[in-house]
Amino acid sequence: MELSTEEEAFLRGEAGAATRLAMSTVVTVARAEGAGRLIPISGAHIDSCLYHGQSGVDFARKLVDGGGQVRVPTTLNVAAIDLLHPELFRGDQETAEQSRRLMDAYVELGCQPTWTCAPYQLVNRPGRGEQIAWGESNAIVFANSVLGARTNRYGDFMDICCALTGRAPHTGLHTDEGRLAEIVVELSLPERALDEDVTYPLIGYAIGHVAGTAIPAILGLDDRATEDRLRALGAAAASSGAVAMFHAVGVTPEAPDLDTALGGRAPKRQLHLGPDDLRAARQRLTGETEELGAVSVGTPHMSLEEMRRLADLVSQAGETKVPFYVNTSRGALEEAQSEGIAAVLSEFGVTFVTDTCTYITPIIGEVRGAVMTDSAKWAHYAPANLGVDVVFGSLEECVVSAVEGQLTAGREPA
Amino acid sequence: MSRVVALISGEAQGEVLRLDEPLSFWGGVDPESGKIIEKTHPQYGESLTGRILAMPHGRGSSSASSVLAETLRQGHGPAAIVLEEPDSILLVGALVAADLYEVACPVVTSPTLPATGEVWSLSGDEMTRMQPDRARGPMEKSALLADKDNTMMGASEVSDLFSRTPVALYRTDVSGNLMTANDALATLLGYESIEDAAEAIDSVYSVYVDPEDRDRWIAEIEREGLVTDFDIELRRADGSTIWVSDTARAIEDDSGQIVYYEGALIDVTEKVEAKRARDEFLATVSHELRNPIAVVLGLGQELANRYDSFSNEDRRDMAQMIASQAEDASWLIEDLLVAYRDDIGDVAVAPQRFELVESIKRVLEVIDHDIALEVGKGETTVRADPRRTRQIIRNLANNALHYGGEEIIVRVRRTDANLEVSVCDSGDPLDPEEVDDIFQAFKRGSRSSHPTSVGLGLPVARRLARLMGGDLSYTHEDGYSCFVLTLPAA
Repeated sequence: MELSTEEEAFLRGEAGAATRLAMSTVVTVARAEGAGRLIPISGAHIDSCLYHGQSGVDFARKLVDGGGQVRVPTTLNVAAIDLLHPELFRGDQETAEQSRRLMDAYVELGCQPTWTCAPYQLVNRPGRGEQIAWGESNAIVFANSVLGARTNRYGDFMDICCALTGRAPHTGLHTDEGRLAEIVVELSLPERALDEDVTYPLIGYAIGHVAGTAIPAILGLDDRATEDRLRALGAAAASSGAVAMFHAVGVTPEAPDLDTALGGRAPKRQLHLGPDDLRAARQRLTGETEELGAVSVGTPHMSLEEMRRLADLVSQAGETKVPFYVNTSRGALEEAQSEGIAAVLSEFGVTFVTDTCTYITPIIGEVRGAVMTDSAKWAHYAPANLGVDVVFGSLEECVVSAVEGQLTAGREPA
Repeated sequence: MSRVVALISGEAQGEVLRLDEPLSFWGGVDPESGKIIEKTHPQYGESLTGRILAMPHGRGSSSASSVLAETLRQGHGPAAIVLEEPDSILLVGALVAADLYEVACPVVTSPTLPATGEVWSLSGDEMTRMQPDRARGPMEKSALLADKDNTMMGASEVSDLFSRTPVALYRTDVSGNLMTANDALATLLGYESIEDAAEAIDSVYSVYVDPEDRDRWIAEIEREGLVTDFDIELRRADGSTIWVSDTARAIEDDSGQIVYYEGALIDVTEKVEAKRARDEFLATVSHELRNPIAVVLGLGQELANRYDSFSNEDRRDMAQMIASQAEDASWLIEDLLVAYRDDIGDVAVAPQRFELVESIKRVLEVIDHDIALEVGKGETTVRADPRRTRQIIRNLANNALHYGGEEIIVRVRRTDANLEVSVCDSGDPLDPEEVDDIFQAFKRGSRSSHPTSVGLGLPVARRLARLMGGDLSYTHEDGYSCFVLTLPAA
């Protein structure tokens, strides 16, 4: 593999021990992936700041002690602690302290304390063709598919190694060819289904199961597929599969038509997705519990636009009878506060969670009954993470159930 | 052997777990157990620990690297990972674990994935399937037994080793029929030859004293694939029982069905009984000493704290009570020493001439019960240890008091060369089968109405009597149960 003079120097440790360790990791991965060279990146998003155990802290401290500093603007993903609302944390003290140490270490490495899984909602989001190294599966699929920026799936440790070296392996989604669609998924859904938010995560969840790591080109979406709907689709596909990019033909920037998305090649597979597949996806995301214990929405972090819609839904509805959590970024919450939306939501009984998310850290605590969510990603991971039963439904169904204090919807397919 | 591409090169060997669906480590694997916890995954509940994990590709969240590193750090990670396509997320998790903790987990890609249950060995870019332990189906008992000198394992030396080793070895089919065994097993179970044993033993169930032990054994071997040091009480050919420690494993065929069990038995009867004796000793000491000590303690404290509030007479009574309870305790300690001394020679006996009837009177005086004493004609001087003799009489009297009838008589009679002391009570006669037992330490007769006493008195009395050249026996005559002590006349 070709390395530049500077890259060689990094590898020899001339820029410090942390850069050397980071460079050697990047090079090992590049070799494994068959990359011919490394490319410079313009930004990074770090998922490694979420505490998963001692190894994360050990690695971050090793980088700090080795004099590491990020070489490109770098944002931070959700962590285990809500620094704005620390009282929400119900875990043990040791986890809280370890999480804090980990968060501190990443800030010491020069990352911005953004603490959000939706870095594409921040002001300086990357543009089309920009090479970046992002962690967090929903952010990766959004950056590639909706923004047209270029990132592979960077996991924990690798994301910070790219940020510290300002380099990434030139492979996969960083290359023109690596971004072409490999399979075609044709939607055959009733026309009005695409008017409903709830349809999009179900499409994504079903596609993730059939696509694996392949890049799908989706036929049958139109301009009703807003940014928020596309990111719900992508987040779901990245949960049930390893989807890092999709093309929505006629909608996303690199797929003006099917032929362009495929780069003139024949697809490896051609699939149809109908109402039955969405019904199956919905059933897979919903458990057996009959009672409602809590509601959690905003995974990935709720955008300002989505909070506006939620405020409309709850403004005439009264009050929630169960705990109602909204996960969002500190940035979006600040805007919601200045628009007065946050007050409407608080009046309804919403608990805001920032910097973290209810499915990765103990906030919800013991619930009597299922937790309802409009996020396929939340529904996918929460049963194992939190030991709760989940009911998947639309945002409207979540609100109605919360007001009634019982599951009034969510069991019937969309 | 097949060629693989080593993303992280290394060596590993293990049983394959091939996943039917891709797995996200994050949210899908518990680092503290190494088990798959994603409920919707087809392999939910399977353990990755030490296995070669095969899957087409990784899946889902980019936190998977951390969880893999954490799983490896805690020692619950897979031995290696085989993928169809490179997955840098898993690769980095394995790299970091190797860098921080020196835990190796090679990661390779291969166009074809090995199947669950196969055992593969990985070295660099070569992967080799280990020959599975080819299981033989159940065979005719007679054929195998006849064949034992020839081979069941191949080479004749191995066969010799099998048949001559002093460790009992066996193989049974799943329903417990003996397929083959060696001479040591026959000897252990008290049979002349292994053919005799095979003839007599229908199913191993019949040699288990407690069939539930067999059920527990089967449950464990089905769960773990093997049992180690499993203690079982077995019935021998002559009806006696022995304790054995069994170490065995289940042999499976290619489809994972158990086809037979094989194992080794070691006689641990002495160990088990020694442990039981120790437990009983502790139980005895705590039961028997607690009461007298509690009385001594209580009365002593009472006297110390409120001395002036008692009359002289009360104080004397209390002091006497303390003395008598302390004496009980001290006798008990004497009994314990006699009963538990391994080497009987260590028990001190100092024979001398003394007047037996006087000694008996001294013992009976302090027993709180009317006991008649009948002395026959002739000299009543004996040659024995007076203190040990009093210990015997006391034990016999207490035994009658606790377990016997209301009326108690002590008769002293001179025979040619001995003196006989019979301690008789009007209680029910002992069952003849019980008579031997009652002189064994820790066994009490059915007449027992004194649940906490562990019954040291009679065995100790017999032991002491024999130590002094005498004996102690039981007889029932004229409606009386009698324990007869014989001591040499002076």
